[in-house]
Amino acid sequence: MNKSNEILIFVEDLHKVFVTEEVETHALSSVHLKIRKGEYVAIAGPSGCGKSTLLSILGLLDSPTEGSYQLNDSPVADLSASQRARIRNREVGFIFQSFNLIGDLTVYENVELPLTYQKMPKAQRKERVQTALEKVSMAHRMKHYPAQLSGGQQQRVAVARAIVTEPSILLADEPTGNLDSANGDIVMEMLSDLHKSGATICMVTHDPRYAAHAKRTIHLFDGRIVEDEYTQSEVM
Amino acid sequence: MGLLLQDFRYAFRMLRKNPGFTSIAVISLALAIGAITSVFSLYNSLILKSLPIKDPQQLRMINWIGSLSPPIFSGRCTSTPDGQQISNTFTYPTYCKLRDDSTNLGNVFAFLEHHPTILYHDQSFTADGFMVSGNFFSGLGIEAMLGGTITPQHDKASAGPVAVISYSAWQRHFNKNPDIIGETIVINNNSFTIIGVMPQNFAGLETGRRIDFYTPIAFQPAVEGLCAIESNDRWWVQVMARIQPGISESELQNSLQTLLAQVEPGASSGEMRILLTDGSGGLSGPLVPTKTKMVNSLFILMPLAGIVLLAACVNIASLLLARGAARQQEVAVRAAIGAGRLHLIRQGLTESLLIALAGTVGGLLFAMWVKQFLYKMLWPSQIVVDLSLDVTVFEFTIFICVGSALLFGLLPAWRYSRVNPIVSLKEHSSRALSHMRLGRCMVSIQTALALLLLAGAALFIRTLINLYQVETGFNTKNILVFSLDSSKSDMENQQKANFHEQVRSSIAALPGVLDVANSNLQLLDRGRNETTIDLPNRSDRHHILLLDISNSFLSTMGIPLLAGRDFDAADHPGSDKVMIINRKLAQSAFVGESPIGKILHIRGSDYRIVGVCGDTKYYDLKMPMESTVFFPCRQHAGGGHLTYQVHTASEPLFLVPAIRKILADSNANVPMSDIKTMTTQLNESIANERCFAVLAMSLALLAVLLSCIGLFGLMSYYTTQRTGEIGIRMALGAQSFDIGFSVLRSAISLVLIGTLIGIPLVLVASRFIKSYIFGIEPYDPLSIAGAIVLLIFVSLAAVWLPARRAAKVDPMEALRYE
Repeated sequence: MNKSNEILIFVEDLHKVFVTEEVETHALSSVHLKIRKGEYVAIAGPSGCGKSTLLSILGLLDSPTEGSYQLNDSPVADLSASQRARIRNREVGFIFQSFNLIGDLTVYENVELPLTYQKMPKAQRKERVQTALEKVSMAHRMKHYPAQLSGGQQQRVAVARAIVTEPSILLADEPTGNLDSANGDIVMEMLSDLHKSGATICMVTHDPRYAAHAKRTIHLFDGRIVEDEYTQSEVM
Repeated sequence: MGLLLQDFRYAFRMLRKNPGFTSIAVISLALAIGAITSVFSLYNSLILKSLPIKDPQQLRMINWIGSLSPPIFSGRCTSTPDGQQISNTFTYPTYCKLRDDSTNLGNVFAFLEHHPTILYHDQSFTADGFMVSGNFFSGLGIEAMLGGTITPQHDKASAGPVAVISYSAWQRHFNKNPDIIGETIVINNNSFTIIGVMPQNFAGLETGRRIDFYTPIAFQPAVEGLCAIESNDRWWVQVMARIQPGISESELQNSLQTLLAQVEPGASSGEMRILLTDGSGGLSGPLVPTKTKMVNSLFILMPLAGIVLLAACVNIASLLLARGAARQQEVAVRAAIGAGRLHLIRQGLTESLLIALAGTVGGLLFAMWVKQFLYKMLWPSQIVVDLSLDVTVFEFTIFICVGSALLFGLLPAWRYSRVNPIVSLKEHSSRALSHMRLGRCMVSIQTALALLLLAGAALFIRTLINLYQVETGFNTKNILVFSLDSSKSDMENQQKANFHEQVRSSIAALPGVLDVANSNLQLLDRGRNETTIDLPNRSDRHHILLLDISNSFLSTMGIPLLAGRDFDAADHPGSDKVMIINRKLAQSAFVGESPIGKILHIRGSDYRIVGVCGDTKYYDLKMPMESTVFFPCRQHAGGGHLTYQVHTASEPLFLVPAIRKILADSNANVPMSDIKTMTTQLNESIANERCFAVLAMSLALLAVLLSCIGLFGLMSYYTTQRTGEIGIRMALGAQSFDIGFSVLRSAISLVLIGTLIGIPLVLVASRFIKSYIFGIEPYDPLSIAGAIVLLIFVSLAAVWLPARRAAKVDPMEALRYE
C-alpha cells in the first residue's frame, strides 16, 4: 500500500443545518476533518448522528451550510450543480447500501455509465469496464441484468461501478447493510483489497465489526466528531 | 455521438419495457399528428404545391388592374376595395403583341378556359377544356406522356384540328386505349384528332379543376364562337409568361406595360396597369374563388387538429411525469455518479424524441389514409387535388415531430433532471407528490382542451341539425335531378326548345314518373340569378331572385300555388309576358291587395303576375326565404342548358337508364350530367357543415379519449402511491365507499377545474366560427352545457376503475406495501 502525506479531503468548521417548517435541525456542527490519500476511514455513530450527511457532503451530493471543504486542494463547498456533478464523476466513487444499480441496464452498462458521462472513447471504456469487473470477479456476468444477480453480486457490481473511473476516493454508505454476513464479509474483503492497492476509502457503518476493517474510525454524535481513533499506525 | 446512441438505445429499451405506456403515447400522438398532417397536406396541395413542370417559379400570370372596363369581356374579374378592376383577359391581338415583342424577356403564352361538349363513339359528355396557344406547352415546359403536344404549327385556323387529352380523360373516356393517337373526337360539333396524352400528374393550371381537353386557340371562333380571333373588341385570352433566367419580374412588368400602352390607350394614361402574380402553383389569387373557399374550410380544421395535437402532447407529458416520479431512484443514481443536469435532460428528451418519431411514422401512415377521406368529405364534387405527400409535407411532419417532442418532453425532462440524489436514494414520496401536482395541472389543461373541442363540435352538430330541419318550401323526396346542355349542339334556338319539350314529355310518359319539369337553375345548387326592381309604393330598390321554370315545375317540386294559376301552354314567346311570384314578394309589394294581374317592371320588360306560390329556399339553406320571381322557360330565349326535375313514385335513380335511352334517341350530342336525387343535392348543399360536424366531433372525441387516458393514468398512479395511506385509513375504519368516493371526488375536481379553464376558451373560440354556424348563437348555452355534462360522465367512467381498485384495497397488504 502506498501511503502518502498528501491531504485529499480537508474540512474545516463544517456545519449543516436543515430547516423544515421553521424548525432548524443541526445535522453537523463544527466538523473538522482531514483525510489523506490512501487512508481507509470508517465513520461510525448512532442513527441520526449525521454520518450519512457528512458522507453526502464529502461526496458533493450536498453542500454545507457553513464551513470550508477542499478536495485535492481545491475548494468545493460552493460549486455549481454542474461543477459538482463533474467532480463527482471524476473524483468520487459511491457505494450505496441498497446497491442502486439501474435495473434496465446490464451489468456492463451499469459499470460503463460513469465513463460515458466523461465522453471516454468506446474502446477505452470497454477496457476499463472489463478491468473493473474482473477486480470484483463479475466479468462473467457482464451481460446480465441486476435482477438476475444476488444481493452480494449486485454490490460487487456497484463496487466495480465506483472504481471504474479510478476516483480519488471511494465513499461507501453502509455497504453491507442489505447483505447477509457472508456476502458482507466478501464486500468488506474487497474494500480492504482496494485499500491495499492504494484506494482511499471513507465508509459509513454502524457495525463495529466492519468498522474494524478501517485503519481509522471517526465517531460522530449529534453532528459532532467525538472521537478520531486510529486502529493501526497512521500518519496524521 | 456514442453517448447519444447509448441514450437512444436505453430509451428504446425503456419504451419496449413499458408497452402499455408506449402504445398509448405513440397511438395518441399518431392520431393527432395524422390529423394535423392530413389537413396540412390538403393545404399543401391547394396552396403550396407547384405545378409538376420544370422551374415553376419562373411562371407569372399576367393580369391587369385599372379603372377601365373593356368593351366586351369574358374571363375572370374581381374588384378591389378602392373600386379598381382586376382581370386576367386580353384581346388576342394584344396577346400577340406581348408574345412577339418580349421574347428576350420571357415566353408569353395564352389559353382560354371553356366547358365543351365532347362526342366520342355516340357518347356525349361535358368536360373542362383549355384552348391553348401553340407555345402553351413549351412555355410550361411539359411534354406529352403519349404522342405530342400542340405546337405553333397546329395553332392556325388552316391547320388540321388537333387535341391533346389528359391522362384522366384517357383513362375514364378512352379506357387507356394505347392506340388513342389519331382517334377522332367531336368537340362542340368540330372534329379533332387526338395527338397526345398528358402525364398523369399534370391536371391543368388550377387546383381543384382537371382540364381534360386541350385544343389550339386558333379554333376558338369555330368551337366557342366568341368572336373573330383578331377582334380588338373582345377580351377573352388569358396570358401567362415564363421569365427568362436572369430577368427580374420588374423588368418583365415594365416591358409588358410599355407594350400594352402601344395597343391600349388606357395603359399609357395609367388607367390600366400590368399586374404580375405568381404562377408557380397555377391559377391562384383573388380571381380563383373556388380555391379560396376550399382553403377557408381548412382554416377551420387546422386549429381543431392543432388543439388535438396539443391535447395529445399534454397527455403524454402527464404520463411522462408520472413515469418520471416512478424513476426517481434511477435518475438519482445517474446524478450521484456524475450525470450533469444537461445529461439528464438529454436522456429524458431522447425518450420523448423516440416516442415522437414512432408517433410521426404512425401519423404519416394515418394521414395517407385519412386525407383521402377528408378530401372526399370536404369536397364531394369532382374537385381535383394532387394529394401525394411531398417534401413540404415531410418537412412539416418533421417540424411537428420535433416540436411535439419538445412540447411534451421538455417539462418532464426538466423535472426529471431536478432530482435530489440524497432524498431520492432514500425515499420518494414527497417528490412523487410534486410530480402529482404537475400531473393534475396537465389533466385539467387536457380537460379544458377537450371541452373546447366538444363545445365546438356541439355547435357544428346543432348547426347541421338546424340545417336538416330547415323548411325548404319544396319536396326533396323521390325527385331525380339532372342537367341537359344543348347550348353546344348544332340546333337552332327553337329546335332546342322543341328538343327539351320533347324530352320532357317523353320522360313524363315513362312508367313510375309522376311529374317532370325543368328550369334554368337547380334549386340549392349555389347558382343564382338576381336583380333589383322598383316596387309600387316603395322608394327603395327591392332585391329579388329570378328563376325560369317550365309549367308543372311547381307541382313537380311540391311548391304550393297560393293564388292565381300555374304556367301553361298558352304562355309562349308570342303571348303576354307573365310571371309567378312567391309569397314573400307578394307580401312585400302588395300589402293588403291581391297581386294577381298586377305588373312589375323587371330588366326592361313588364311582366303580369298570374300566380302566387309558396316561399322556397333558392340557392343556400342558410339564407332566409327571399323574394323570388318565376318566369316561364318558353318565354325566355334560353333553352340551351336546362336542369330537370323528375318526381317519381319510387327510387328516382332507377329511371336513369330509361332517360338516357330517350336522350340517345332524341339527340346523342346533348350530354346529360349532374345526375342525382334532390336529397343528394340537399346533402351536397350542406356538405361543408356536415363535414365540419363529423370531423369536429371525431377530433373532439379523440381529445376526450386522450383526456380520459390522462385522467385514468393519473388516478391509477395516485391510488398506487396512496396504497399505504389507504391501508391506514381502512385499518382506522374507513369504508370501501369512502375510499372510492375520495378518488372520484379528486378526479371530478380536476375535471371541474378544467371546465372552468375551458369555458372562457370556448367563448373566445366560438367567435371565430360564427360564420360557420346556423340557427344558434356562438355562445349557445345548450351546446356548452351538453359538452360539460358529457365530459363529466366520460371522465367518471375513466376513473371508475382506479376508484374501484382503491376501494378494494386489502388493508393488510396495503400496510405491508407501506
